[in-house]
Amino acid sequence: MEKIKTNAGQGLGVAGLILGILCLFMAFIPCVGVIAIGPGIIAVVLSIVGLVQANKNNGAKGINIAALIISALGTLIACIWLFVFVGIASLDEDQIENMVEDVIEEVVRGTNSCNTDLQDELDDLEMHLDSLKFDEAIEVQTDSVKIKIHIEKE
Amino acid sequence: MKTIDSYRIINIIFAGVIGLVFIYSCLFLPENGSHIIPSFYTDITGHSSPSLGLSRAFSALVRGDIALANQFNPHALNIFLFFCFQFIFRLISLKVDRMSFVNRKLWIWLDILLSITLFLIVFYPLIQFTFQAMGVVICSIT
Repeated sequence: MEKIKTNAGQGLGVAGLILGILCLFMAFIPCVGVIAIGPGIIAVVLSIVGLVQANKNNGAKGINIAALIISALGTLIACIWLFVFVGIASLDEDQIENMVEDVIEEVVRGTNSCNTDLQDELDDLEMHLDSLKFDEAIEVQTDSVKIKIHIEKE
Repeated sequence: MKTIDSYRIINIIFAGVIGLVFIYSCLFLPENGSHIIPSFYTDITGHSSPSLGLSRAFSALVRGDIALANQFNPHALNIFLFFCFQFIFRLISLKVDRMSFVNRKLWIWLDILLSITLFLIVFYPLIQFTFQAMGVVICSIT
């Protein structure tokens, strides 16, 4: 005889799914990503309890499984942020600065080809400036102001 | 036994959450920087992230100031449009049962696929930043 499907665990599954989706959204926002651990853990617990209830009383398992996958993914990414912050805390100031510069440079290069072109142009300009030979000082004179710039090469 | 319409509940709650985001954006002025959501990333590292200025940009966007929003955060317009789309889609989805010409199951699958695709496109810079930050920290430690 076929068992009758019940609503067991469905409410918990819906709650888990909503919290899980919110957790996943928050986890991908670097500013607040680490906060997503809270709703993420609650969502995982709700989904697991919902899944157990659905298993016992022949409820629909699909929503609970979806909630569990999404909330686990969100919690994992939020934990990555926690890991990143703990990692950053163990670095010294210069390492942090280099790391952030590397990441920002990679993101800018990856997301916008115009920025890549601009970066290449800037690199070229920097090379040209290095190869230029100046006198020790440059004087700029206007009617009212006289500016003298001393150049020191690093 | 009373049946629960999960899809309807999910739509109501998400429409409410997105509505709250819009109300939050309306409550604060973009220029004065008094938004209550902090940037933990900036607080800890002292550097900016791709999500910095998102609240201020949203405040500017709900007031129609796209140029100012772009100055606060270049990704804000895409994310704001994504939220607008989601808000409208949630409201339309609430009425999906009354639309006799729409197959409910097909509509839900379309919703899932569209939402995931748009999420990946709109949040791509933030997703990329998340994984790169993690990769660089791992490389620095090992």
